[in-house]
Amino acid sequence: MIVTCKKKVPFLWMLFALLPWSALTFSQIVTGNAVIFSLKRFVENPAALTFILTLPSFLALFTVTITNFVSDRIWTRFGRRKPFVISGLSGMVVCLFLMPLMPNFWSLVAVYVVLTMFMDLKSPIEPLKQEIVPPPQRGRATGLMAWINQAALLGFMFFIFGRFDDVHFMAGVPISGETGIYWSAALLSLTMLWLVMLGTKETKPNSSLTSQRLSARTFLGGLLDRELLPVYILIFGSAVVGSGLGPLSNLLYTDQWSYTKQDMGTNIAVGGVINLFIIVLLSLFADRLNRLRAYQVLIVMAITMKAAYFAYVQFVLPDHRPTLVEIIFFGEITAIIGLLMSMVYTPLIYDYVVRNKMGTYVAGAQLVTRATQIITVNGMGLFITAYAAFFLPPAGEMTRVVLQNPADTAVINAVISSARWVAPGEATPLESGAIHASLWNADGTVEGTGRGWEVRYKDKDSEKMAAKKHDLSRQLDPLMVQQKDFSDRAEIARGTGDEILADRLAADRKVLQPRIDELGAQIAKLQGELDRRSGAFRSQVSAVFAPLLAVEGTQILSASPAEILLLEIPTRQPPARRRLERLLVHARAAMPDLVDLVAKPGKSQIELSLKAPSGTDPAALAAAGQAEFLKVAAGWFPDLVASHPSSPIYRLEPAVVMKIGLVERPVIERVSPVTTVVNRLLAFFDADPPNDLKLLAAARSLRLSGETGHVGARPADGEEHAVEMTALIEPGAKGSGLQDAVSMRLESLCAGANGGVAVPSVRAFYDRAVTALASQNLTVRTPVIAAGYATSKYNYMAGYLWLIGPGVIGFGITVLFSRLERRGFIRKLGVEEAAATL
Amino acid sequence: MSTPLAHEIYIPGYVPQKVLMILFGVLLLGLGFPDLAASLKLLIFGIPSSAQAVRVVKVRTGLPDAVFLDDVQLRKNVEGRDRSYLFWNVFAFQTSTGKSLEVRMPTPGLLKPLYSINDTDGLPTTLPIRYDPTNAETVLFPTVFSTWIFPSLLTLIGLLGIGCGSVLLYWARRPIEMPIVPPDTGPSTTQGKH
Repeated sequence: MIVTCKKKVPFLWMLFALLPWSALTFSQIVTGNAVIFSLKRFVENPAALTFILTLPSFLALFTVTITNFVSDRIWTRFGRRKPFVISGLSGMVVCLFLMPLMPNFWSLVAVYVVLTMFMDLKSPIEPLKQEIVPPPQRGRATGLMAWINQAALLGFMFFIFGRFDDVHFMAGVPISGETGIYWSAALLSLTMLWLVMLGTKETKPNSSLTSQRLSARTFLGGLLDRELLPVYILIFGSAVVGSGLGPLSNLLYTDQWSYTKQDMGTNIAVGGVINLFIIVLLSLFADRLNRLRAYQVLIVMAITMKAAYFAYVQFVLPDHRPTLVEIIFFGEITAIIGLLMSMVYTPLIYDYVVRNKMGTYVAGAQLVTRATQIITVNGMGLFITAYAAFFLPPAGEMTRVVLQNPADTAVINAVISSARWVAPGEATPLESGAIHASLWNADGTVEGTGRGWEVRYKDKDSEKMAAKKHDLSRQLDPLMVQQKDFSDRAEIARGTGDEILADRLAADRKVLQPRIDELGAQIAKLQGELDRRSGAFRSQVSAVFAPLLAVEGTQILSASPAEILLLEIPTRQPPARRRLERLLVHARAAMPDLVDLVAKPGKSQIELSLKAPSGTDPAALAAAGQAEFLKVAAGWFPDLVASHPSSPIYRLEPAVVMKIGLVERPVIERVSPVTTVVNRLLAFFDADPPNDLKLLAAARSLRLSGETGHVGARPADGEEHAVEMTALIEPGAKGSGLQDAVSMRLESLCAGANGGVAVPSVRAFYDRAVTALASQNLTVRTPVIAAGYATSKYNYMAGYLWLIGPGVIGFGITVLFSRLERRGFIRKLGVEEAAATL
Repeated sequence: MSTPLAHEIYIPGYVPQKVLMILFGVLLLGLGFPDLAASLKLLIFGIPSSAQAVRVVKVRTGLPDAVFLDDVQLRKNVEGRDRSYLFWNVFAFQTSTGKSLEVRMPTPGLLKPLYSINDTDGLPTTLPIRYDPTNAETVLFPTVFSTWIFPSLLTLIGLLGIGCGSVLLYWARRPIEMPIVPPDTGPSTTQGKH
């Protein structure tokens, strides 16, 4: 049982008292991270999302300040803080239970706003904590609290957050990860509600404030204290400096960079573990700094880091997508600066505030901080939307084409401006400025010239139609599920002989049909119109770019039948697949003619394939190949290969060698500085990773037992944007009967050559190769890759540009503040008070 | 001469409510622990093996199942927002007796499967598993957090409820000496006075 205002409390009490805070931290992390994904089910626009997420800040301007102010000035038989805490926690529990059940946008927003109001209502839990833990023990409690917060954050981000879209079945009942996350927060809050309600007893304070009349005059008078006004300036500066991407950082990771929520959680968890140690290290010397000067230096460092991160991603990384190591690297430097800032800032502020005004200061600080957040976060949402409007492809009809030869923006713009365009919807003439073209590579790399181009027409009508179609689909989906449910239940009822129930369910099902038909017809009509428009636009783009477009069939740069030599190598035991793949990487580097390396299923044997150019002596090739391979294997995996035969066991098999033209470069040529450092470090343990890992991966996925058992892929000689594939074509390999430009090209290339491969089998292999390469973000050059309606793109990273502005303002404020202090307008009243205390 | 102030004695009470708190904890424990126990049993007594992803099945009530054998097709068919589909990963593994089995991972994904068919190296996604020696089709994927995280959370919250409730019940009838708080000096700002 916890009692407030004790002179000293046992450690167990402290732990017991801090449990509710760990539950609340968990709930706050849930609402801070999961809500944006819940909202994103209904809305995409970043400006709308940020506006919704700042709604609680608008409310907190009133609720938090008034609640804290009043909790100092009342007394009930349950205490003065507990009534607020209990009401707040009760409301939180209900709202957290409701959050995942909300069927539409507005109900979700309503519950979210009410939830945050209840979270504000329970904010006197902070002074309650301070009253439970006496001053001499508060340092220890704060340390414990910091660790609990970090542990809750780590636990949530690493184990729980990534489960948002998973489904867990409990006793056969499906529970989505989203539901599980909110409900676990609700259950934890409910337990803690019980603990606060039944386990905490407030001691009646002997406070003169309890008799103070509550009025707007006393409230405003308290907040607008002349001693506190200069401190608010510093708080404003700190709030603008401290603003980050906030909830949009989640979208940056998942939507823009395509990392999973688990990747994001792991990234934050790794940073969190490092922070646990850094907090201790930083706290050792944080008190030894000139606080205001150190704060100013840290602001400059924070601004510089934001600018550096943006520049690194936009201008250094070829695909504008940092690796997880790079995210952790920049994130950790920013976190260290942020931690140091908070350690300097908090005592700095209290240097200027006397003890009796600390409560009033908290209320005023809340007002200033929240108001500033509203401005900065909404400003960022608008900035990102504006950035997308000016610099990124618009929503509308889209056609993605591939050119026969690389071209730059000037060439493409000249083609666009010299053509006559008509609106795909109405066939009315268009200005060429309405057409937007941007270089496109599947791997996201941006270069000066290229073959892949995405051409778009900004079509507001299509955008409206797509939005309407999306809304109609949202209405239709639950109806279809309901209809199927009626059908299934009717069938079950018939099976059990309950014809009355079956007929009733069948009738219920029929009731839904007209609405389903109506919605289905509207959706089909809208989709038909969108398809018609995108088809019309595709025809225009194809016609305008016709002289430049790639010619179907010419993507196969060369193809010829060949022979490969299969060499059997005995091993001590059946080799593990991943180990064998690592050996293949090393062997490829040492043996230019090596095609592939595969394990014989269930046998202690591996099979090596080598290109066998016509005219070479197979026996000599086999002997040389075996010797070279054994040398490589002995170097990396000495325990793998068993005693080998003096005369190699080999055979020759028919194969095809094909060069395929690509849109993207198949090798990684530009390695970022951070990745280079990481590779150097990893080189202490293993060889540098090859730059054609994508080709290795594509080749692996093309191995097909009984058809193409050995497949190798390497960058093509003399052509930067092409791959050379070598594949064993086995007698049982399936063929493709398709007769098109590609098949004709293959026939013309392979017809005159000697060899035992059937062209239909080669064609079937080509089709699979196109798919395998696409899975590695490598696009085979076909004239038109895609066409259809495309949504707007957003670059959330642009938010960092926006953040530089508030950072500079914040720095200017601290400079002004320090000048006012030097001139004696601002005094360190808190420090003076402490010095005067006997 | 002033007499020393007597400490107020407080007896917490609220026994039925505290018993209810313990029962609430027991209820949560009862909901979460059976699932967790089944996982723990397989983790301890199950036979370790590794399973390879072979396909993904996209399921929606009222529609025929869609089966994907490669990631390119799968990527084209993942959902952006429609959460009415379930994407089941199907894994294959061999038992110690050499028998090949296929199992569905017990936790599907809503918008996309939990795992792609091939990993970034182009190799089939491979996960460690533990299977029941008496019924090899009962499989635990210990590295798939979803299979055990929510039962674990329920169990933990249940234990927390039982623990806190028991401590409170222990103190329910014991007298506690309340502290004596001296009067403060009143509000320090002129604006605060009335």
